[in-house]
Amino acid sequence: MSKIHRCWTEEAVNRYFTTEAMAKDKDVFMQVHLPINQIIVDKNYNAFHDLDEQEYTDEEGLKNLILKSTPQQSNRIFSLIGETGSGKSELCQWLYYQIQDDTHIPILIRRSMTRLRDIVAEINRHLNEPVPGEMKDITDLWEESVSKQLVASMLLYLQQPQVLNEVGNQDSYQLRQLINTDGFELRMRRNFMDYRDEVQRLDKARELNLLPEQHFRDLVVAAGGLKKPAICYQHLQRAITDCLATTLQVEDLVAKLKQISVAFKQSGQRPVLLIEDITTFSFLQNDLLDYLFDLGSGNFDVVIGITTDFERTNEQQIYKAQQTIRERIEGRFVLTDDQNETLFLRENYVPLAALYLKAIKDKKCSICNSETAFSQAFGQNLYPFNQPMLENIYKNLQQDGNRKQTPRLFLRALRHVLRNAQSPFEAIENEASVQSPTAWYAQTVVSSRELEKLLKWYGYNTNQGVFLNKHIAEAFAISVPSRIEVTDTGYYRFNPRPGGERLPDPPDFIVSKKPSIKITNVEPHQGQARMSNTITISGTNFQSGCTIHLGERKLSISYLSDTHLKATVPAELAPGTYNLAVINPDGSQAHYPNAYTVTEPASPSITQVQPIEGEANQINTVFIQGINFQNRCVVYLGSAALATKFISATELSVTIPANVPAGTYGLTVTNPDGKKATWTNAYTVKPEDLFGQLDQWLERQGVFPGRAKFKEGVWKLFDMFQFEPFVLQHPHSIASKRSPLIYSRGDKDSQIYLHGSADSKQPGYLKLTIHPQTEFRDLYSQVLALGQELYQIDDITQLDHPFLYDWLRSRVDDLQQEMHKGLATALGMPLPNFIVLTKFLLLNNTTGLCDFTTEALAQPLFKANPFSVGSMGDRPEKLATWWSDIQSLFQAFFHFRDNIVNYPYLHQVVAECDPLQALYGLRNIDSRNIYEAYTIGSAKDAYPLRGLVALVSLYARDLVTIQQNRQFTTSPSVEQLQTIADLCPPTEDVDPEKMRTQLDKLRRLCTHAGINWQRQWDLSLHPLDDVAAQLDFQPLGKCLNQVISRYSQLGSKMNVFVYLSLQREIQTVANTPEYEVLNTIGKIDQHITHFLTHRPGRGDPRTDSRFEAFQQKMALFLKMAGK
Amino acid sequence: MTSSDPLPQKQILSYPVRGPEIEALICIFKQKPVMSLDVLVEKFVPPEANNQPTKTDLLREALNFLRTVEFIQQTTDESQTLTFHLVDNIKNNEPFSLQLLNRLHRFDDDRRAFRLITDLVTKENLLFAHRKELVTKLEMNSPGSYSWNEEKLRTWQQLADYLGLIRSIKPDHGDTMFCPKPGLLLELLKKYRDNHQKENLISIGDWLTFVHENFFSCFTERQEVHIGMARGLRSMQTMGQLTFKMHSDAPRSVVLEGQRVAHLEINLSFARRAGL
Repeated sequence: MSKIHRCWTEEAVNRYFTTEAMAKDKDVFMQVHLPINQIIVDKNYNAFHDLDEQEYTDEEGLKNLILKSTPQQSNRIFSLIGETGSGKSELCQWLYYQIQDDTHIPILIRRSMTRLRDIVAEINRHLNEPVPGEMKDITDLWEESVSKQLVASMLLYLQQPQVLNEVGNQDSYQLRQLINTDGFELRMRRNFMDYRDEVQRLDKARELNLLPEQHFRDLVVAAGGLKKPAICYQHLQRAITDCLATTLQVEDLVAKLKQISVAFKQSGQRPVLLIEDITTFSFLQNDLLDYLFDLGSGNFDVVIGITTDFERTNEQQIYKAQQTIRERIEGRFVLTDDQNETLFLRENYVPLAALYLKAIKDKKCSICNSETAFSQAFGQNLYPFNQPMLENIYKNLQQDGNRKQTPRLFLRALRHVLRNAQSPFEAIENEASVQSPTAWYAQTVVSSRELEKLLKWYGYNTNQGVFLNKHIAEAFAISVPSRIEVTDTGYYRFNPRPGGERLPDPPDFIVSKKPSIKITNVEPHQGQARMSNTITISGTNFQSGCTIHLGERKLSISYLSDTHLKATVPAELAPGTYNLAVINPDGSQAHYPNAYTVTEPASPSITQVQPIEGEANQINTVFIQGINFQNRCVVYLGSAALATKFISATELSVTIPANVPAGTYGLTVTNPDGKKATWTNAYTVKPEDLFGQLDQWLERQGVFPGRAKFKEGVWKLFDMFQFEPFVLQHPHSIASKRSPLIYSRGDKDSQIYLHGSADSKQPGYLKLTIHPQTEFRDLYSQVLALGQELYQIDDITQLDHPFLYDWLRSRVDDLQQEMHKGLATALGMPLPNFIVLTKFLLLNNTTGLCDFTTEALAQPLFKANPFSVGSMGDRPEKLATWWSDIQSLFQAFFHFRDNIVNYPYLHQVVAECDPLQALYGLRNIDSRNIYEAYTIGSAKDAYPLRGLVALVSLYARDLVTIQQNRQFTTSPSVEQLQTIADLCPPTEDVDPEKMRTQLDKLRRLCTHAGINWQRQWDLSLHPLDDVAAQLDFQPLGKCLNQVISRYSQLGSKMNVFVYLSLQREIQTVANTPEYEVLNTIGKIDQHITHFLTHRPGRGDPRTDSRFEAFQQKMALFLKMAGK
Repeated sequence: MTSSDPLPQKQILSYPVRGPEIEALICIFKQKPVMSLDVLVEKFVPPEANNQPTKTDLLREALNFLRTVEFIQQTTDESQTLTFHLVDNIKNNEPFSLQLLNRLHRFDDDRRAFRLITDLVTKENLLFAHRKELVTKLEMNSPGSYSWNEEKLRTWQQLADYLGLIRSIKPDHGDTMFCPKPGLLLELLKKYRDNHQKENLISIGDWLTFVHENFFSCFTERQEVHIGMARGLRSMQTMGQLTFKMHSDAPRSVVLEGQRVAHLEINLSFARRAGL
């Protein structure tokens, strides 16, 4: 091991090279802070525009952006994304020190503040309030109370109707069974204790997960599986978070933030919340983010540090995936690229190292601080590293096997070397975060392992060998074999490894020999005057930054490589032959005589133009013949440039656009070299003869280029007669809440098709078609004249309004018939029938309607809770979101007014439909056959009919499955309902309080008898204690008996609609607290009966005198409960 | 049988009714000639949200209008239950438009208000007019008890449009085009043919007189055919639905916008399509 020069202390290293930016005091921080000068600005956020749409900004830019806000402005969120250790904390700390104007007050939430209490204490500091004493911390909690509380919370959470709906009854039931087991509670308790112990031990929080997914899976497998395990897992996690948040009084944090926002606003100030790392907040993230993202909630600027990984895996949580919330992020700034490399470090790792190394060293060290050969060999302030070593360290940084170029890892590697007693090249080999670099020297010449390592880390790898400064070898006392040559600048040169990849040339300070520059070719070697031309220069040893001179003229240049250059010969260079010279930045130059000749071009001339005239408002192609036309020449009609196609040096074609006014024009051909040829009065644009075109179309189905005017006339008439051709509804509906079906695709011009006029008719477009009918010549002429504004629309002397009205009405009727026909084909039934059936499906689902009668269907749809059974999933819910569209579509077709139904028409359609039969048709609709352009109503955000049809079809499929398989079993079953009905107390005056007392007695008896009293029973019997619940068992009994009776009478009348109605009713009953209570009583009864009859190993209990009293009590209770 | 309640006193154009709604009512009455108000409400008035009372005002207005034009009668029993009866002379197979136009044309009491407007427009040979202009003209022509206003004209316009007598247009250009629609004209041709000659060739003079006397006025003050009627017929001719015939010796020929016409012939294929 070599003994090396050390002019720093370990204490200094520890003070400056801290893992966290926050571990330094302000002076130390500012001493070694390297400006973060490359931060990506995400283009998708406002900040990008505020920063002049620059792709990158720096720390100053970010600071200035934050300081732009006023105290009254609502919350602005800036997310700071980067790998761990990429400088997010450094930047937050820097902002904390630099944001010091009168208005903005920075509050720094450090990563080290892992406890809620610490965060609130920091906020209180700004409110001049004491550190909170009463605030709970997770370490204050007792595990048994937490686990019990969690179990109770989950059970309650799972019974919320919305959760029940998502999870499904069966899964909910199974989950509750699972949660009720002792094993589950024990598992929660153990996980909590592990977490709490870790927090206590490390004094910081980690991500809290009391129910890891694997644990959950194990439990689910043990419990016999779930239908929707993923959804169940999400809900349980949410229940845990809610429970902990309540227990730890998280709302206090939000309250504090509100308080500080108000206090600052009143004093004309604005808090800037700098959150180093969002994960600091652990399970509080949801609440905190919810608060901050609520723009109206406060007046903060918030900078949130987010690790790349966290952002990737929690995108939903951070950005909520909804555009509106996403928009609430003011700016997103990224510090690392997708290769885990910190952007600002890429060009600055050497200056960063120099800053730190300078800071730790003894300022009086004569070796390092003077201009000694020793100091120069390593580089200013770099000892004991040099530039290649720093590069080797930087480029080989890694974590967990992945490349990761971050300041934290880089400084960690330097610190490791500086604190190590070994030589740097030995020490760095033991640093886990740095991979050993590749050796580029030929192994055979290296005599010792130490020299190998020294060369590997400190050597300059070049195509001429690996170079090592003599003084570095001396500084580390490494001997170099005498046969190794030394350059005249003092570097050992080791031969390169055979077959190694191409490496750079050695820098000048290593080898002083300059390579010679040479030009070998210039291509092309000639070009025409008044035309710029690009030439390529080939040769050797061209240096970046070289210049090219053609004669006296310096050319603009593109440096391609050291052997190829490109340059532009300017158009204004006079004819003649020129020499070319390339001059390198180091002064070396090469010359190429007679390299390029500029020739005088020949002038163009026009000999013929064909055709010489065309009609206005038509696009015409004209061919020009002549000589000396050049590629990229431009033809002008008068002074307007035309689209010109170069066919050959003797022929061109040009396009005369439709908008050229009538008149006679000259044509000019202008070559790129500037030479021109003009033919005066070459082309005449004649006024458009629209009536001639109309005749041509009517008589010969000839092209009608001016048809747009004709269509304008049609639209004027639509407007006057108030026809809406693309709107489908009942013609006499004026209901204010109606939404007709509207086809909207294309502009007015493209919505009308003149058959045979060369008009375009793309497939997939619905158009009002007008055929050329000679018998309507007079009428068509009126339309055209109207479009041309030759007549006023109310001119009764020129226009035959009734005729125009009747003709247009018949066109509109034809179109609407076509629309109806197309829809009927796609839907498998007329559109009105589809509307009625859709309304029925939704009424059946949301209200339980089963009667398909005109009167029942006339009742309006309202927003209601949808109902799902079996494998329907969320389809009923999705369908229910359309309620308003379905109702307004229904109004458009079946209402005269809001409160008058078109009864005869509705009756007729209802009579045509058999809903059960229609389900099979609806199931088979392929919604892709409905034009996407059909929308319900004309609002900008009107829903497409196609979406509704797709949903109805899926829903019908669900119903057909139930109907075909006759899956009419209710849940709970009719037998279960009967059991509960039997339990219903017969009298009105059942007192819940007395029932409770009886139950408590029963509970004590059970305990005494050794019968396990289940906690779940108490939870379910909770309504008995709730005075406000006002339990009344009488209606429940009646209701249950009605349902049971209805079910038993159905027989062959049972179908899917009746079943849904019935199941909906049952579910409503089963969700009442009375049902829950009686259901639990039934279970208790069952359990006790089972215990009494199957008590293992104790003989027949009925002969046991100890149970006599119990049985009496039980009988009394059941009597009271109605049994 | 309980006697009918007296006719409502409201002026015929003061009912806020529309043609399609009253025809829908008549359609139901034709199926079941006697119905109580409750039954009609159940059929025509959708229930309101949250069990709010249903809004039956418009239905009652429509029923009262039908009573005014003597399509139905109302009775009230001891329990104040209202029952409506279709009057006997409403024919099942006659188009609603013709029946109503006929009634409105025949009234010679205050219920003449509807035809007074048609008469004025025809007399003055108007093709377009604004409601406002008509109010002024009507006030001058029939002052006194009618209290003309735009609202009444709007009711008239909506009814007349539905019956096929006129066409509503965008208010910029006048709000009414006084020209009967082809559907109405065909029904009138069919009615005339069935009543009189049973032939496809119809004397235009006779037919116009028949229409003028029974449904709406067709002749101007100068005994010319109203421009709207003339243009309506000509449109049908151009659309290929009718053919105009003229023989120099034909009696009762008329001039339609400069063209003398003696007979109308309904195009056979069109007649078949239109069920004539």
